[in-house]
Amino acid sequence: MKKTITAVFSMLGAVSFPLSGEDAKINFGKDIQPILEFHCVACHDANETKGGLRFDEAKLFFEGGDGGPALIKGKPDESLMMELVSLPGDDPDVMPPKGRVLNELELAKLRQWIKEGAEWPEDLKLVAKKETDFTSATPLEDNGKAIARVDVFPEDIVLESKRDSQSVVVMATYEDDTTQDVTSNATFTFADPSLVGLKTRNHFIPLKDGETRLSVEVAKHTVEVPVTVKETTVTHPVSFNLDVMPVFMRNGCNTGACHGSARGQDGFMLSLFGYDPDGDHFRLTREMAGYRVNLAIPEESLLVEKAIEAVPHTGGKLMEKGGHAYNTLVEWIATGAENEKKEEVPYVTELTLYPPKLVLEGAGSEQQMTVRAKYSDGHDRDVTHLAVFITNNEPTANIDESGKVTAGKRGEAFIMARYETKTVGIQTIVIPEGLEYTRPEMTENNYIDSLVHDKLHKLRITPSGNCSDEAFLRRTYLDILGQLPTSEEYHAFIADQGDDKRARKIDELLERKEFTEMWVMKWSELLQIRSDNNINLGISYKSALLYNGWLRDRIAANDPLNEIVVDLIASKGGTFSNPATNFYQVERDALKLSENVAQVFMGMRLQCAQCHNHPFDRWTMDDYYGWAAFFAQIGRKRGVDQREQLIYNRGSGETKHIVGGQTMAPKFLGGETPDVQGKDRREVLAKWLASPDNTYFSRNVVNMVWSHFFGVGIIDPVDDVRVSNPASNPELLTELAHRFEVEYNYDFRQLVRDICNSATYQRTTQANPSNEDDLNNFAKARVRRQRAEVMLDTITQVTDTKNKFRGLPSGARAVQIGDGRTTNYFLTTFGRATRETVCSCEVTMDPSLSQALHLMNGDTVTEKIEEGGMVKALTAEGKNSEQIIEQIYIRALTRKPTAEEMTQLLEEVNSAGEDAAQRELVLNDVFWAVLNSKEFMFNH
Amino acid sequence: MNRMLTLQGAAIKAFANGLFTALALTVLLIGHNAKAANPSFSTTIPRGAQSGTEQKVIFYGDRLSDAEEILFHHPGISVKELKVLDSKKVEVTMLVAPDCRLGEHHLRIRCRSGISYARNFWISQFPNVAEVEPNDDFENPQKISLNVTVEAEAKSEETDYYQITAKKGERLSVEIEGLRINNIRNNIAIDPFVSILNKDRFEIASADGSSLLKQESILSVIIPEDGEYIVEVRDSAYQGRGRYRAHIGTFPRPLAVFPAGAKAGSEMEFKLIGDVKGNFSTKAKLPLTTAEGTFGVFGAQGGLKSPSPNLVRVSEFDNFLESEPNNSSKEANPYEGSLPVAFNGILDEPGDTDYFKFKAKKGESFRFRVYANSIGSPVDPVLYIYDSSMKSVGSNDDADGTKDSRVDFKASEDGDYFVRVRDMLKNGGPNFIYRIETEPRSPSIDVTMPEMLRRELQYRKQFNVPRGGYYAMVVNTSRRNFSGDLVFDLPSLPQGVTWESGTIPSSVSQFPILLKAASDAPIAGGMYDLLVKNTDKDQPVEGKFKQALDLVRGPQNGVEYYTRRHDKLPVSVVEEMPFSITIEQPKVPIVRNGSMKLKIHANRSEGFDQKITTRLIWKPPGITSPSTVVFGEKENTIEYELNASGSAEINSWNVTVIAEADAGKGVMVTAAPFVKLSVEEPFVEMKLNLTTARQGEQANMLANVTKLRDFSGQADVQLVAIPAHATVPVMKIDQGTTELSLPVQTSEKTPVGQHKNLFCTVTISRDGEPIVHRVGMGGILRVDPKPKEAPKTEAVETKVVVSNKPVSEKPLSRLEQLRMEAKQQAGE
Repeated sequence: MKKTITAVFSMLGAVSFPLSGEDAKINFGKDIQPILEFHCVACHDANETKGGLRFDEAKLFFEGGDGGPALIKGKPDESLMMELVSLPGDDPDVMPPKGRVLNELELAKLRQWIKEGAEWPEDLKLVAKKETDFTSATPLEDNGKAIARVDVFPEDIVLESKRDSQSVVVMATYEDDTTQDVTSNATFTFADPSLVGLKTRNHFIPLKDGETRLSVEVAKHTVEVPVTVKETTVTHPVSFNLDVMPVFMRNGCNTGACHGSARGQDGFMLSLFGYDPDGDHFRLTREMAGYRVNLAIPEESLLVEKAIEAVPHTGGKLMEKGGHAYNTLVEWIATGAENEKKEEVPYVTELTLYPPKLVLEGAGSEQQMTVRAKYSDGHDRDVTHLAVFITNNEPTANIDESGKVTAGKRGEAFIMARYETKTVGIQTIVIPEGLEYTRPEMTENNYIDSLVHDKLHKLRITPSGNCSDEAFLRRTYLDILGQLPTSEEYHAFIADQGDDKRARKIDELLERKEFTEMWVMKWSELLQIRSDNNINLGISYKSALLYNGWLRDRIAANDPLNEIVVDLIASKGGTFSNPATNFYQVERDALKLSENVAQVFMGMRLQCAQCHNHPFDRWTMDDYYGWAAFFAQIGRKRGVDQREQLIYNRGSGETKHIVGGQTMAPKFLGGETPDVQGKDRREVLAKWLASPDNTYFSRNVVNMVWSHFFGVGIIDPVDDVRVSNPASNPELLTELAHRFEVEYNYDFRQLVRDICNSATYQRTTQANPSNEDDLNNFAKARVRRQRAEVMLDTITQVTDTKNKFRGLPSGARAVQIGDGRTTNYFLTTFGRATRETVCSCEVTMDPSLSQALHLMNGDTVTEKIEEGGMVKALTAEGKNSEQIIEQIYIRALTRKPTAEEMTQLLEEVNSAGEDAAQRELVLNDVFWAVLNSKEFMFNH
Repeated sequence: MNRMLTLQGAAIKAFANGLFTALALTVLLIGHNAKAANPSFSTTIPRGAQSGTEQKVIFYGDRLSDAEEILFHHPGISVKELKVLDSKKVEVTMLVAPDCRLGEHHLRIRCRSGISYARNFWISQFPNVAEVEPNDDFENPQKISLNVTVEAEAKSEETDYYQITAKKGERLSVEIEGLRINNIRNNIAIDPFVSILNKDRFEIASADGSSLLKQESILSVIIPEDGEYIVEVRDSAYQGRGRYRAHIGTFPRPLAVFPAGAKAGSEMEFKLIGDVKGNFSTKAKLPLTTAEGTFGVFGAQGGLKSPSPNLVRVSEFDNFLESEPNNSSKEANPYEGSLPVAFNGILDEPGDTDYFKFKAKKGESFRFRVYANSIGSPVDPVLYIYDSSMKSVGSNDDADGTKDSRVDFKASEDGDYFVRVRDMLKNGGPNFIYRIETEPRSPSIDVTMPEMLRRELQYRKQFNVPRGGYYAMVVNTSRRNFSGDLVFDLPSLPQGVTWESGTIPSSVSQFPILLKAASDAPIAGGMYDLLVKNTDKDQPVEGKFKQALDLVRGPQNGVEYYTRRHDKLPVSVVEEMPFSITIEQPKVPIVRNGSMKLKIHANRSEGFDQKITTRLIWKPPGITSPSTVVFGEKENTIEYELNASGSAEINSWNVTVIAEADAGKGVMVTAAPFVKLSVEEPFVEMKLNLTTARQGEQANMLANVTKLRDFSGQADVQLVAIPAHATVPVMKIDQGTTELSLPVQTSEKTPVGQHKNLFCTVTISRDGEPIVHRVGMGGILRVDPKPKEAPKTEAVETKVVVSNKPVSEKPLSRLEQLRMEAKQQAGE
C-alpha cells in the first residue's frame, strides 16, 4: 500500500495538514497523537503493556518502562524512544516491530516534539488505531457504467452522549440497477469539523454539541447528510439491558445449543435469545453469588474469564480481551453489575439495516452494512457492532460478523440483522460480472406481468414463452376446477378462433361450482374440518358436515372473504345452529388456537414465541401472550344435543405471561392494544384481523391463492411469513394484496381472474438457459403433481367411473369430501391432508414409491378402466382403434397423440389381430399406460 | 358384560381394615349375565296409528311367545286381537279411539313370564302411508296426498323424496318423528333433516332440528304458487338408519305458546305463536297433576291439529304476565302479590332482558326456576335475582343438567327484590317464551328407584312376582325440607299379590319392599301406584313414585337422548319358578364391628340344577357384603357374609336377597321372604398392647379386655393378621376376663419389622350360632432381628428368667421388660 501520511492527515483536523516547517511549533493533537495511536498504543496500553511502557496516558508514559524513561524532554538524541524508532528497518530492535517503520516526516515531527519539551495534554487518552482506517478516498474505477445515484446511509447522523458513535456507508447505484459500496471512494467533509471526531474515516464520534452537515462526495456526486451532536458531556453507565444483553446475543451465549438451552450448559443458564433479562441478571449475580461476577476484581469474574477463555470454556474463545464486548462486560461489573427496572429501560422501536437493497455484480464484490436502532426514549444508536448478521443464502451473499457482505454465485439472498427482539432484512441480488443481457420485450397482460418482469430484469433472467392452447386448457381446468376438460370442451376450445378465448374460458370456469368446491376443500384443510368420535376432543361428524356446508354456502355465495373470517372468529352459538362456531371446537386450547389463527389468517408461525422471543422474527413473548389474550374468554357448554357445544363469550378470564405471571392485555399482532372493556374480545379481533389495518391478512390470502396456481408462494411456505423468509417479489405481493383489499373488496375470484389471465401464469414449462435454475421468480411454468383429491377425481373422470365416500352420494368427487377423517387408501397414499394441524405442509405433493406402485399395480387405475368400460363403449359406437386412442389422449392429456405415438400404439393394437376382445384388452392397456404416464399425473 | 351397580353406591364405606376394603370393592365388579328384561320388546312396525281407526301392528322383541296383553300408560288405545307369530313377533290389532290423545303413547307387552320395558307409539290425526321405494331420486319421488303420515325407513346415506300437489296460499307443514321413535343403543337412528323444494329444485325452506322438538325437524311454509312440491327427508349427517314418521299436510304448526303454564285444573286461553299463518288462540283445561309436570296444548285450525303439542307447565301458582318495556330494574314489572307466583314473558327481540319486581319478607325462601328450553322454547335462560339496591342475590345459567336455570332465594330482609331473565347468547324473537316459577320450600318426597344397570334406566323396573313366590325391590326416597320416618303404601296390586316393608327410619333413604304372590294368584298384571308418606300425622307429606323411561340413548357411551317420565309401577304375577329361596332366620344378632354368615337355602324343583346368583339388594346402614354370592350347580345352601361397621345402626331390619337364574327362558328373578337382622352393640372390647420379640422368640401380646354386656360361657379369641411364620393358639375368655396374654410364637423366618393391623376375633356362641366380634384393631407386633453373636450365657440367663415365670402371672409390658434387662445388666 502506498498511503502517505499526508493523505492521512488530509482527513484530520483542518482536513489538510500544512507541512510544518522548523519554525512552526508542533501540535500534539495534530502531529504526534496520530503517530502514537497508529504505531505505538496498540502494544503499549492497559491491555498489553509491552516493556512495561504505556503510550495511552501522559502520566504513565512519562513514568517510563522497564528500560527507564522513554524520552528525556528537550533532548531527542538522548531519548531511548527516538533511538529505537530510528533503527534501520531490518534491525531486530526496530520500533514499531510490526507494520511499516516511521518515515522521515514522522521522525522529524517526533524529534521536534521532544525538542520542544514533549507537551502532552494531561487528560488526553490515546487509543490504538489502524492507519488504514484513516486513508483518504481512493479514486473510483470506471466500469463503463454511469452512476445513477449515490446514497449515504443512514440518511442523518445523530450523536448523543459521550459514548455514541455512528458509522456511515456510501453506495452507488448504476444505471443498470447494480450497486457498489463506494465508501472507500468517498470524501467526507464536515461543515463544522469541531463537532465531530473520527473513530475511523467513516465512523464518527461526538466532540461538541451542535448541528452541522456532512457532505459526502463520490465521483462528482455529492450527498449532504444532516448531523446533530448533543449531550456530549453525558456519559451513560453501561446498561445491563441495553449493552450487556446484546453481548450475549451477538456472541451466541444465549442460543439453544449453549446457555440458552432449557437446562443451561455446564450449569449456567441464560434465557433463550434473551427473553428474560431479569432472570439472566439473577443468574449472573445471585444464583451463585460472587462466582460468575466478581465485583472486587471485575476482570477475574468467571463470566469474563470464560468468554476470553482465560479459563477452559466449552464454547471456546468468544471475545478478545480489550475488545468492545469484553470492555462492556468488565465495565458493567466494575460499576456494580446493576440491573435496571424493566419499565425504565427504553426498548427498540425501529431497527434499520442499511443499505436497503443490494444488486451486486460479480463474485467477490463487497458491501459494508450498518445497523441503526431507534429507541422508545427517542435516542438512536449505531448497533452494527452489537447486531447478529445472518444470510439465508451463503453461497450467493455471505455476511461476516462486522456486517460486510461478500457476493458469491449468481442468485438472490436475504441479508438480516438481529438486535434485541428485532430482525430486519434486505434483499440482495448477485449477478455475474459482464453478463450479456438486454431486457427482453415481453407481452404484459396485466400488472402482474410487469411486476414479475421487473424482478426478472433485476436478476437478468429472461422468462419463458407462452404455452400452447392445449397446455393452457389442461392447466386452467386442473387449477380452477380440479377436473380435466371433456373431449367436447377440448374440441370447442381448440376450434375457437377468438383472440380473447383464454380470458373467456377463465371467466367460464370461475362460474362453475367445482371452483367453489376446490376452495372449500382448501379452506377446510386450513380450518381442520375433521370429525372425532370423542366430541370432547373435537367435533362430531354432523358438526363437520355442517361446518363444511356452511363454508361451501359462503364461498358459493361469493361472500367477501373478510366477512367470512369475521363470522368465523366472532362466532357464537351452537355448533349445529351456527356451524361457524366449530372453529372453536376444532382447537380448544386458547394458546394453540391463537397460534392457529395467526398461522391460518396471517400466515405466521408464532409457536416459538410461547417460550422465548422469536429468533428470526419480530414476535416477542409479550406479543404472543397479548395475542392469546383475545381467546382467553371463550365459554363452552354442552348444547341441547349431546353432540353439540355452545360457544359464547364468557366475559372473564385472562392470559398470563409465562415469565412473571403478568396479566396480558389483548394486543393485535404488530398492532395496537385495543379497548376490549365490556366487549367480546373475539369480535374486536375479528374486525381488525380481516381489515386493511392488518396488512398480513390480505397478503396472506393472495399469497395462498398465488401458491395454488404456481405451486410456490411469493412467500413460501405460505404459512411461514417472517422477516427471515421474505417475499421473492415484495412489490408483486403488495400490489396483489392492495387490489384484493381495496379494489376487489376481498373477492378472491377477481384475484384468480387476474392471475390466470397473466402471461406469467400462461407460460410454458420449457426453460431457457437464463431461467432453468430459477424456482421462485415465475420465469417459467412449474410442473406440479396433481394433488391427491384432484388426481383421484381426474382418474375417475377419464375412466367414466364413480367413487363412493362416507356420507356422500355415490359419484361424489373426492374434492367434495367434507370431513377430514373420511379418506381412502388412494387419497392417503397421495398425500391428502389429514387436517390434524393447520400447517400447509399437510398436503404433500411429493411423489413416492408407494404412489407409483399403487398406480401401476394397485387396484384403482386397472379397476376403474375396466369398470368404466370406455373402450368397450366406444367400440360399440363403431369407433376404430385410431379414434379410440385419440379419445384416450384427449381425455387424459388434453391433446391428440403425436404421429409417432399413434403409429407405435396402432402397431400394438393391430398385433392383437381381428379378435375384438383382444383388441379391447390392448386398448385398455394403452389407456392404462396413458394414466400411468407422468404427463397425466402432473399439471404442466 | 353389563356392570351391576351397587344399590348403596355411596353407602359402601370401606372397612377400617384393608382386608375388608378389598372385599367391599369387589361389589362393583361382579356382574351377571342379566341383560334384557324378560321378555324384551324392541319396537313396533308401524310406529304409530291414526286416531279413530283399527291398525294392525307387529311388536318385535324376544321371548314373546307367551305374550298375553298390551299395557298402555295412557287411555285411548285398546287391543282387539293379539296373535303371537313367533317368539320374536306378536301381531296386535289395535283400536284407537277417535278422541285418543295425539302424539306419544307408551306401551308394554305383558307375557306370562313378565312385563317388558316401555316403548313409545304415536297417534296421528292422519292415515299412515307406507314409504314405497325407490324414492331416493329427486326426479322420481313418491307421490303422496296431503295430510298423511308417512311411515318410512331411513337407510344410511339415503334421501327420501315425497311429492305433493299444493295450491298457492295453502299452508304446507312437515313434522317428523325420527330420533324419538328408534331404540338403537349407542347410535342415533335418524336425526332428521327436512326441506321443501319446488320442481326446479329451489329450496323453499329447510330445517335441521327445532327448538320445539330438539333434534326433530318441523317446517311450515305458505305455498307460493300452485304446483307440485317435493319434501325431502334424510338424516342430517347421512348416517342414521331407522324408522321415521313424517306428517305432511296443511296443519298448523305454532312454535310457542304463551303463557307457558297455568294453574293445575284451571281453564286457560293460550296464545299460539309462530305459525306461518299467524298467531291464534286456543282454550285448554289443565289436569290436576301429570307425571311430566307439563301438559300438551294442541293448536287446532280448520279441523287440523299440530301433530305434537306445545307444552305448558302445570303448577300450583297463579300467572303474572310480562308487559314490555321491562328492560331494566327501573322498568321492572311490579308484582304486588305475595310469592309463590309464576312470571311469564317473551324475550321478543335480540338482546331483550326482562325484569320483574316482587316483595318478600325476611326469611322467606323460594326456589326460582325458569322453564324455557325444557318446554321447547329457544331461550337458553340466564336467571338473576337482585335485592332492592340491585345487589346480586344469586344467578345461574344451567341447572340440573338442563339449559334452564334455577336460583335458590332466601330474603335477607323485608323489601323489594328483582328477578331478571335474559338469553345466554342474547338472542330473542317472538317465540322466545319463558316462565319463572317460584316454588316455596315446602316439604315433599321424591320417590324413585336406583339405576340397577348403568345407562339402562328401565332395567329391573318391572316387578314380576312368581306365583307362590316373592319379588323384592329397592326404593329411593328423598325427603325435601323435612325429616322423619316414612312408610310405603301400595293401595292396589294384582289379585293375590301382597306387599311387606316396614317403617323407613329417618336415617335411611333407601328401603326394600317385598311383594308376594299367592300360589293361586291369577297370571295378570298392570300399572299401579306406589306412594310414600311420612308417619307424622300432624304434617302429612306424600310422595309418588316417578320413573324415567330412557327411550332413546345415543352415541357418547349411550347418553340419554330422549327420556320421558311415568308415575306407575308395572307389576305382574308370572308363572311359578323352578326354584325358591329362603334365608335362615339368624338366632343371634350381628354386632357392631362384627360379622355374620347368613345361611341361604335354595329349594330346587326336580331337574333344576342351574347356578343361582343371589344378591343382597339392600343392606341396612353400616352393613357391607359381597355384591353377589352364587349357588353352584345343584348346590342348595350357601353362606352370605355380612360385616357391620362400628357405626352400623342399632335396629332390627328386614333383609332379603333376590335370586336370579336362567331357567331356559331368559333370566328369572325371585326373592327370599324377609328375615330380621338385628344389629346390636358388641359384648366385649379389647385393646392390644405393643409387643416385641426377637425372631424365634415367643412374644406375649397383652390384651386388655373390657366387658360391655353380660354373656354366658366362654368366648374364643383368635389373634388375626399376625406376620408370616408365626403362630398363635386360640385362647378363651369369659365375661370376667380383664387381661389376656396372647402367646405369639415367632420363628427365624418371621419377617423383621413392625407388623401393624393385628386384631382379634372374639366369638361368643349363643343358641348354637356364633356372634363374631372384631376387636382390638390396630395391634402392633414388632419383630426384631435375631441377635448377632450374643453371649450365649446371657441369652440363656435372660430366657430362663422370662420362661421361668408362670404363664398365669401378669405378663411384662415392653417397658417393664426393658427396665428388667437394664437392671440385670447393671447388676452384673
